[in-house]
Amino acid sequence: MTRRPWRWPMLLLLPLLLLGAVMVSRNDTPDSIPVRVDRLAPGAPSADASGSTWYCAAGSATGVASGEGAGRADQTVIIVNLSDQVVAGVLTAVPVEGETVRRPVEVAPNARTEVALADVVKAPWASAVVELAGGQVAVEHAVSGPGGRSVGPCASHPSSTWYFPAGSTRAGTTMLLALFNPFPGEASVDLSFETEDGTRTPQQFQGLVLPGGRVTVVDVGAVVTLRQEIATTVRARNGRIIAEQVLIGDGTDGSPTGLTSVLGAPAPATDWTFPDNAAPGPGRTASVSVLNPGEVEASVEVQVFLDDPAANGTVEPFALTVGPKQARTVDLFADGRIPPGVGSWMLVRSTNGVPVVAERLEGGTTAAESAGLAATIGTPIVATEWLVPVATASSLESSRLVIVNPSGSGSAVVTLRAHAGGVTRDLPGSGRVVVPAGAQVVVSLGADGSGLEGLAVVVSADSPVVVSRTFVFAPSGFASSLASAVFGTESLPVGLARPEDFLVDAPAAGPSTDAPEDVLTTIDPSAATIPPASTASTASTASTTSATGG
Amino acid sequence: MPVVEQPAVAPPVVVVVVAHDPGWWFEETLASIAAQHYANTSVLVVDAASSDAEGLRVRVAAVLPGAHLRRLEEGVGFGAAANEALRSVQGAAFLLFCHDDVRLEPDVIQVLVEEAFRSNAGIVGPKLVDWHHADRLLQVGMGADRFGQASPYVERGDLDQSQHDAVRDAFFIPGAATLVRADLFEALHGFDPAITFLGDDLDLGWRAHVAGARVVVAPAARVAHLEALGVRRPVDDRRRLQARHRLRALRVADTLGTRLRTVPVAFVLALLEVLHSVVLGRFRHARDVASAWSWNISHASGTRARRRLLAAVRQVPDREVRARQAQGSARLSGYLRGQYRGDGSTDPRDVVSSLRDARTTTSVVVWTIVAVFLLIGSRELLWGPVPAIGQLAPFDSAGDMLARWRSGFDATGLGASAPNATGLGAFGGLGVVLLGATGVLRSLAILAPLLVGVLGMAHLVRPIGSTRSRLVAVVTYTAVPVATNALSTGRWAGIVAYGLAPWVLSALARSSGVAPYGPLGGSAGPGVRHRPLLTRIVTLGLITALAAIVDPSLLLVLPICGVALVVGGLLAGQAGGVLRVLAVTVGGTLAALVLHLPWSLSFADGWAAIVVPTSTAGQSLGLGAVLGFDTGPFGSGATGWLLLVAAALPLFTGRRWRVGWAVRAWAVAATGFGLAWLVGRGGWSFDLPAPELLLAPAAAGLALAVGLGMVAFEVDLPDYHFGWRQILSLLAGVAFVVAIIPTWSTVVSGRWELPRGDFERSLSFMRTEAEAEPSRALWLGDAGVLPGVGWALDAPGIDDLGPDRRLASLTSESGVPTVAEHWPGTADGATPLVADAVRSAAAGDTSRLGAILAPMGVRYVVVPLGPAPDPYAEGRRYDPRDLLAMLEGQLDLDGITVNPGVRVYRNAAWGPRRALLPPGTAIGDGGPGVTGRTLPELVGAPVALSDGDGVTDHSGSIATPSVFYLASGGGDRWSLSVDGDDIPRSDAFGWASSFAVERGGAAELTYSTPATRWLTLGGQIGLWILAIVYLLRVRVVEDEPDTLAADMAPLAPAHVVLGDALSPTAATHDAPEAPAPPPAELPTMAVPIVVGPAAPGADESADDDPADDSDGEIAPPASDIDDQSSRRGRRRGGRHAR
Repeated sequence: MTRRPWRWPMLLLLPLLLLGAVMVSRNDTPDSIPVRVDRLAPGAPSADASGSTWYCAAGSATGVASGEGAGRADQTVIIVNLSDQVVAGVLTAVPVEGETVRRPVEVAPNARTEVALADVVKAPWASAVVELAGGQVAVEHAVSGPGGRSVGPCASHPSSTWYFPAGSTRAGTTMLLALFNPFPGEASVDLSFETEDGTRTPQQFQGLVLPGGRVTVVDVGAVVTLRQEIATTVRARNGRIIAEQVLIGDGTDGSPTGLTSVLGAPAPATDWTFPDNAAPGPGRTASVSVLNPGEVEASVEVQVFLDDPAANGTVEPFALTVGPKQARTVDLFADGRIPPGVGSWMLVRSTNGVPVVAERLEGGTTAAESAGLAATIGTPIVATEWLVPVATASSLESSRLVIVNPSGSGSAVVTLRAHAGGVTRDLPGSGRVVVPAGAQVVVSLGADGSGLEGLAVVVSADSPVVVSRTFVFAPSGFASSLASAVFGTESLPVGLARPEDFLVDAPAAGPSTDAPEDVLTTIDPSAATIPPASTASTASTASTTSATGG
Repeated sequence: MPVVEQPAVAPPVVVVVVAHDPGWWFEETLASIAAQHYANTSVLVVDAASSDAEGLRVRVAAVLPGAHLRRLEEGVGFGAAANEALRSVQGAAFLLFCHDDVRLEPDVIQVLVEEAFRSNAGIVGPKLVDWHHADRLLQVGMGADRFGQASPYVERGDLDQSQHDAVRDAFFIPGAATLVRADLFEALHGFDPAITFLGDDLDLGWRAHVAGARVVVAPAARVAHLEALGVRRPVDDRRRLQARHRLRALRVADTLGTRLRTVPVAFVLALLEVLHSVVLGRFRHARDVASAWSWNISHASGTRARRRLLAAVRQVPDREVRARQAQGSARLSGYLRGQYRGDGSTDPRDVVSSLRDARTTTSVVVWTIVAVFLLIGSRELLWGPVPAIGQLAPFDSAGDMLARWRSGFDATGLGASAPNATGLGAFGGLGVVLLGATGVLRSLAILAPLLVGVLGMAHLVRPIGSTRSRLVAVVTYTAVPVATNALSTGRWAGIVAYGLAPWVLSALARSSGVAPYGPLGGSAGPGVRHRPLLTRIVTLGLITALAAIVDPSLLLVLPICGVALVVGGLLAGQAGGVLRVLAVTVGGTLAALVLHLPWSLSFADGWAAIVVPTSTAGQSLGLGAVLGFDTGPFGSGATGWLLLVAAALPLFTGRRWRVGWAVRAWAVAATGFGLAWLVGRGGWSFDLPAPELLLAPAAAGLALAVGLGMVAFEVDLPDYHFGWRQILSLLAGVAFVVAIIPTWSTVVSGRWELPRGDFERSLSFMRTEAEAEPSRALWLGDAGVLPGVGWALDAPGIDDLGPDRRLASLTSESGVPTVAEHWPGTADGATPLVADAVRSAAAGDTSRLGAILAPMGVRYVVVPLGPAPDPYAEGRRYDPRDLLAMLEGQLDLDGITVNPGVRVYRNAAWGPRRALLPPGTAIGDGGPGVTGRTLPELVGAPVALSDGDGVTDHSGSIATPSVFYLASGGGDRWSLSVDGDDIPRSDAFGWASSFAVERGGAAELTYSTPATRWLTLGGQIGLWILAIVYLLRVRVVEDEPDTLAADMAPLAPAHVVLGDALSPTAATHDAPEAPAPPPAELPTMAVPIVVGPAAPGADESADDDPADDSDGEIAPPASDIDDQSSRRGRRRGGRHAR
């Protein structure tokens, strides 16, 4: 005989269970698909990767440096192997027309290999795919032509969208787009341009078919003529491609002279970091273009962080409102709020969370100390390890490496190791570098090029930083680009520095700021008591210096 | 005794009495024969091997000293014994064949003989009435349909008011007393000796019609029949004998042309009856019906002999015989009528009168609504194909499934030597039974669980004993969208779980033995039978194993329900039966595993081998969704929660076993809800079953609780004074009604929102190409939308598809996966290499995924963006952007435009699965480097060995020396011979095979099935047969004593009076075989005892429902009656005064 059943245990238990589940559920946050950070910017595979693929889109392969038949931007692929193993691979040269050529490549440990594409194929335009069976490698390409020289990383991933916020087809400026489809199937893309006169979607650039295994070069200026500012959006209807922009200025009407190629940004983001801003000077131009590809208006601040704010003060951010599908450009030197001769780095931030894309365009006219043209798309990511190949052109006059700690708090301890000639060695004069929050450190890699042959630097930090490098060529010309973040160490920036964090009493003498009075009077007093290090500080020697401008 | 003068020319009549161990009634039988007024009568008593021959002789001599006695040494059955008259009787004009348990009125022979002359009839029969109640009719002749199914002209038990007293033609005369013209009997060669019992009368009457004789019934002749056959037979095999003898009679009497038309129809009807019985758990019934066919096949030669004998006297064409038979199927119509009443009544008047009963009317209306709901909701799927969505893969041919099952080669993934799933064999075998109609089989396998679940719920609630309770529970279970959500999203396991859960719960509840599912704490309710523990274990094992054929994760339903019931029992403070439930749970699970040997050995690989990856395809499973069963397009949101309110009622108002089982039901529901909620929260390092698999027990528990609420309302609530319980009951009722109303909106689509098309339409080119050039397709995407079952794929960078989605991969051999790929094989062997390749590409280690997949025979990589292509599932698409980015970033994958709802990438480095490579081609060892895993020579390589069965045998010619490459696992079980010479095999990439063919010729590639595979398959079949036979045997052995005991009791009258021949008389000779009940407890005999031929369904009723509740009255266990009286007593004492 069983006993009479109880009802109360269950009557008590059920509400408790329900209550517990409700409590637990309330703490849940809705899941969302995280952003694939390693797809936001080109990067290098980590040491444990077993392979990587790089896509170098823009460049010619004529083998003729000047005169008739000279390529406008002959391309040289630079493969850097910073691992302890021999890395083998295949370089596939893809001409704009004609047969694709595959050539095996092999890079010794801690060494580099350069392949002039013209040695592989001859074509007015040619792209390259580099497949390497190993990690800790980086691939860049240098382009050079009658207009100048440029160095930048190749793409590590294709994308269906590419953004170029800056550009121009004004008189004397040539704007080309290299659209590289390395895949077997054809791709179809739409090109749209935001200009000062509005959006342009030329019919011939809608549904533009890019055959598989081909590069297509579009002269934007032939269609979108004489526009001072052009922001370009490349959107693939199907397939993925690599898009790279080439700007060539001949100095007409006082415009900068030079050549620059820049890989587009594959996706918008809310924060873009630009190390190593050029300092205002005679004949120097600098602007930032912000493209808002979304459907919501973006509120953007361009925040410039001067070196040694205690001495140089702070700069009032440039505030922009960028409408949907619109682009805005800010001339950084126009109102003089950036003091001449003072180095700086820059953050472009969307303050209302609407993702945008930012590109900096620096130039030097013939009136400048060094003429040239350098387009740089900032990086939306930070990383604790970067690979920094250094150009080896015989005309290299100087080069420098800039490390920015964009965080609003906490210093980053950075270790620099140089790899060259098959060996690893300390960077002359550098070992451990402390980069304070919100500051940048400039490391000179030499002024005369001696000892730089085959040099590559591995920058390791204990907290996320951003690294770029700038090359100055003789007799004129410069190039600036971000280094390659090592995948696995990258992340989205958090707790970024704000200019008001560094507000201090205006220096008795020195550059003034245009910060409004109310800003100065409403700052948190405690912030003023923690001025960051003003310039580069090194743990080893004083050979590392603060740098300004190019 | 009155004396009637007879004419001197009265034709001689011989009364042939076949006696076998007759009981106390025999003297009455003999005396009634002796008292016949007919003058020219002789008596032949055939002793059919009675155990006491001398005793019989003495008994006959005492009453009929002039009778002749013939003894047969073997019990050959009634017909063969009666045939003794052919040898022993000469010169008779008529033979009157009598059972030994009949009582004739004095004028029976006279009336029958007169009618024989008057009607020129060959066979004449009397009106049969009940032995004890002579005013109650048993039979007045019998009709039959063309399948031999008897169709009575009168309703058994009807009051005899002379309403059937007109002489009429009959198809046959029930064998209790039959007058047959002697010459006709001789011409027909007597009874069919192969028909031992039951059916001999049908056969004789049928053949008499064929011979042109008339068969009439003369109701003026009244014979009382005791129907005591069952008392003297050790086994209750009436249904089996009837079934086989019906078929025998049909096959003997019909001509070839008629048989060709009738037998197939009879076969289909029998098949339906078998299926119906199996679904309802009436395995004995199914066995009896099925055995009729096997018996007749084994007795085919005897049938032919009888047919030849009949041909010599055939006078009447079949169509004339057919005209005398009932139209349609008497069995089917009888069954349909019988469904209205549990007592098997087939009288339309009873149907009508029962319909007038309010409870019966409600029952009919509710069941009709449920049936209409299911039919309307499934209408498009019933009349059209069920699209291959999710796990609802299309079926292969029956032969192909069987070939795969027996091969021992698991073709899923990259192929391996491994036991194939039981499902391949089961569905293959059923496909053969259905003559290759695997499409029908697939529809049945997908849709039938909806009905099975509803029937299971009725079975679960039946012991509660309340019609309303059963209806409410059934409606609740029908209304919860567990099965429909699973169906609409293609989660087959969820559909089957819906069908399985109530049956499992029912079996577990019966195992517990707790009232009303057993005698513990009360008495067993309707339909509850005592079974040994082993029987319960085997039953549950078989049920679970049947379900697990579809998906091994269904094995979890049993332990989930078992543990929940145990916890519920403990929470209710009733430990009784807990150990039995635990034992049955463990035993049943083990039995299910054993029944799936050798396939179940692969479950030892771990959890992933049992639970396949699944997802809710983006459907958030928050607490609210879980409680509302909102796992798919159906879910009534807040109104769905109202069922919880209705289910809570018995916890507050129930008493005794009702509250005990309400606690258990809630424990099951809470367990299911809780597990489903945990599934929805995600973040587990292992895959969890489909949510419907967990919610099905919850739904069953909830429906049981709602049903218990109804019975508590009926039984318990009246005992309370008006108060909050009444208000709560009202609220629960309103909640129930409001909760089920939205359910009707789910039937609108007629297909449970299942998309109207599937990927087969968009990707048919892949199948066409694969038939010409064997290849594989690699499917990647959310497990909830993939058209098949695969493996979970953890690949950082691409495996985050968003909330409530799970990246999975699977391969298919020819386009859209078929059922052959439904059971993903072992994760060992080569198959994980596919995932490795994808991971490598996801990590950016390679941009040549195609080249790495090429040696695996992968020609296409397919990413479905929804469960079906556009426009069938546009609203259910998702964007696996990282996965697509990875694939579109591969230098050798060419995206092709097919449909916006699916991305297809053609592998530019592809090579056929059976390829011929240039001589001397070096094949890598599968090492970590890319070169060790790729085979550039595959590009453009010709296909080899295109003939064969496509599974384990391939043949063709190899023209020139070459390297034959086989992209399949299985290792050295593959062998290649060219012109009869065996070619040495080499490992390729560590998992595939290559053969260096030095000389061309006719080649044959064969997979060698290991001998152990045959042994294990034989063992598995044997185990299933053993389990089924065991259960059938147990049911027979366990049920027969009950049935026979029931038969015995009323045969022992307490008051029998001598004198009036048709009045019950005292048992003056033998003592009753059962103790006589006191007069006050005499059976009323309102329900006639079924011993002889019974109306369809009558035996089922007696079998399954000893305390049927069809009258709508609650049948609470005896303890409740005690409880009620004691409760009232207490209330009188003021304890419950409110």
